Amino acid sequence: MRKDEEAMNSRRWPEMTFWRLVFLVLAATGTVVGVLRFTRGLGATTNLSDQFPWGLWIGFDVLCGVGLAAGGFAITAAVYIFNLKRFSPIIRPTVLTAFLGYVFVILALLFDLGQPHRIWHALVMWNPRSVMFEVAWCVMLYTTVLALEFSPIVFERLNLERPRRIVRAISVPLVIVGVILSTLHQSSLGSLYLIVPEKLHPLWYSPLLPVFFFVSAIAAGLAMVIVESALCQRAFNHHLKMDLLEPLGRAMVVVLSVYGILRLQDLARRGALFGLRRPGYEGSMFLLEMGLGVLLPIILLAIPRVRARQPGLVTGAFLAILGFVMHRLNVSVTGMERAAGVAYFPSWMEIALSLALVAAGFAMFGLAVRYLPIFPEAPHRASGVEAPAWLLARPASMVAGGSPEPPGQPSAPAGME
Amino acid sequence: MAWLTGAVLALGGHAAAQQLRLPPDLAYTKAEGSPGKVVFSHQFHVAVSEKCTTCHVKLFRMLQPTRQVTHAEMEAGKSCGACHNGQMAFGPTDAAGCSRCHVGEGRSSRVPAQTRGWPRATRPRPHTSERRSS
Amino acid sequence: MKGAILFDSTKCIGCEACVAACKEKNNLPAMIDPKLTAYTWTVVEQRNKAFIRRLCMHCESPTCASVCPVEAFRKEPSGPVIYDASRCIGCRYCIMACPFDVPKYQWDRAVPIVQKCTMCADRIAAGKEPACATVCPTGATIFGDRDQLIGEARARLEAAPKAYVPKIYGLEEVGGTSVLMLSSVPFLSLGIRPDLPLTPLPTLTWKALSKVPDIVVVGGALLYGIWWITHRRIRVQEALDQEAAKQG
Repeated sequence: MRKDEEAMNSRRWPEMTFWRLVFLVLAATGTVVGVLRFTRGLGATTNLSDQFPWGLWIGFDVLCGVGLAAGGFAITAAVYIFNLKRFSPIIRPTVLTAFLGYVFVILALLFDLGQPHRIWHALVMWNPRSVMFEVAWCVMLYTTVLALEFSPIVFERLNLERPRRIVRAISVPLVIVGVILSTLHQSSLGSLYLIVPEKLHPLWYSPLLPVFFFVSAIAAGLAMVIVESALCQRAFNHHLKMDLLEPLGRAMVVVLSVYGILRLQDLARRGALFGLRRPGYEGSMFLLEMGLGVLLPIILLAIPRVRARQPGLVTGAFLAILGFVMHRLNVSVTGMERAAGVAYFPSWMEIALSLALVAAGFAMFGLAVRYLPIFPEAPHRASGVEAPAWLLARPASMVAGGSPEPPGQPSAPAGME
Repeated sequence: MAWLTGAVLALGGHAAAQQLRLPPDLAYTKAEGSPGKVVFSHQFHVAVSEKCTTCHVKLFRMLQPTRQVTHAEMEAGKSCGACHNGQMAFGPTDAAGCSRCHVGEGRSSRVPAQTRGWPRATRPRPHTSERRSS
Repeated sequence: MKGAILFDSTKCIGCEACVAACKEKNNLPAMIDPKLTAYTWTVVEQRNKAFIRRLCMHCESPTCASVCPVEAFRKEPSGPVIYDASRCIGCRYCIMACPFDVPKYQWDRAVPIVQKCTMCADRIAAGKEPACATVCPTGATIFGDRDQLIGEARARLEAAPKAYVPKIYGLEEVGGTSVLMLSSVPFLSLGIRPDLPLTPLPTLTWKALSKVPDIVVVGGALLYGIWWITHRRIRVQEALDQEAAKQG
């Protein structure tokens, strides 16, 4: 180990790995595309048109980005409201993912909006009857909540004890506000499409769109926690906490089943299942989304033997995420194409920018893990010491007066504190 | 062929039977060195093209018409000169003389009222309005 | 007066005077696009041996005004639905949501805005008529009070029932529009959707949005209640443990 450390310290540049190369290529391409987008306009860089004004940047970056960061509100609710303290170790990486996810969404919006320098207009120009207005406000407020939920980690790193205590004191109300804001805007993203019953294909249009978006976001959030843990295990050589993730897999079965039943019942009630028999690719896309993205993960994760082992759990979670992304893209692209009269496929520049933003998110995650106390059992390198004792201690009682247990029991480290 | 043209015109919409509410005749003011004012008649010119956009707005305004056209402009292909250049329709140097357009004192500009019956090939075509293909 | 436009397709000869006048009034580029764009705010299409005008329908309960997060669209009492470019952030929800596919975008510009017919709101305010109605040589496009034009349309349908499809398009569609249309051939054959809901589209999103205060209040109370219950259980358990430790 010593020799490697010496070698690393003597090297001028960081070691170039495959993934770092991928990141550099994506970042460079993304920068070029970003400049083109602002100098030449949307028409020159995207395949968007009057017939198809919303494409990949809305369908994937915004609709999926917001949903995939939903693990934040699910896990914080589990720990702080339902008092399921054993999930505390995964709070920090989950909140980090959620915060980075929302930053990613806002960045993507800055590229997609025609006049992003006016994004602040929603703060002073109000239209409470607009779903977009509600989404804008909830995303702004929730990103603030996430920043606040994330701040103790930064304060701890900077040894700012007093701010950390202040935020810790309001953690429960903060989480409650966060859950409400999340519920509102996760469902509102679905509500955006309520206004186009004559355009959205009946296999996806429903008055229950807000409910579908909300429930699927919960499932996707839980799945993201599992997949993200698996990625961290590969990247940082962590031990995968199967005892924490397996219950999440079980919860996913319930949530996905509720979602699946809601969708099918809604389709049957509206007599929309005939949409499967109509000519065209919408039927196949629907079957792919429900079969691969809902039914298959339910089956996989319902089998205890599959769920209890890492490959099975991660595969099930990955399929659920795939189904989630497919649902969002089917609603925003597939389901809208027929009425639009054009077939839309994103330009290489749209894809490049989205990939660059995702890559930047991954990179930021890696940097945060390296320099901030995100994982209790992986001491951050900057300090060069073991994780502080209180981090490994039992959580102090939320009500003043409780005293922390003596350190040495690393079973339920404090999450947000 | 003339009867066929007329029949097609009569079938397509009620144009033949309808009374068109056209702008009244426009008098272009007499400038320096002009032999007389020019009276432009919509009544006559609408027979040239079925679309107003042949001339409007690229060549002439509609809501606030200009009142003066010079031969220099016409020779550059602007306004009347887009068609009245001697090829599409008679030009300023036409042998028939200035009185085809310019009305001297006491004389009216009588010009052939109809282009129906003209062979289709000599009818000016609506080429001057730029149109994007679908 | 609630200004409105009546377009009678049976009178239209496809001369495009309206297109030209609109271009001149709004200082738009002379190039005429075959369909509505940010630079061509009205077009005349020939379909099924008839002519149909496409322009903003100036809905009574405009979808664009409802969905815009910064209220860039406004329905004037005088009839037109107008757009305030200084507010627009370019989210393009209006383009996505309009049931008539009217608002268009300046995709070629680095700083783009939405563009559409304004029913010449400034001309109306000055007591004049929209440019298209002013120049139409056949009276296919006429301007007037909405109720009077509806009366006129009904009179035409009664006077010559065989010449028209018995429908005033825009009377009730999506809650009614200020652009009314008559036609001798089925509207679908002219590319106009006959199957739009009769209720204004904004009611669909309002159903979801009106529940927001309920979710906030009930959700907040519920979550606090759950926290209180689960937390109390832990406190009770801790107190019992402490007592057991004391006695033990």
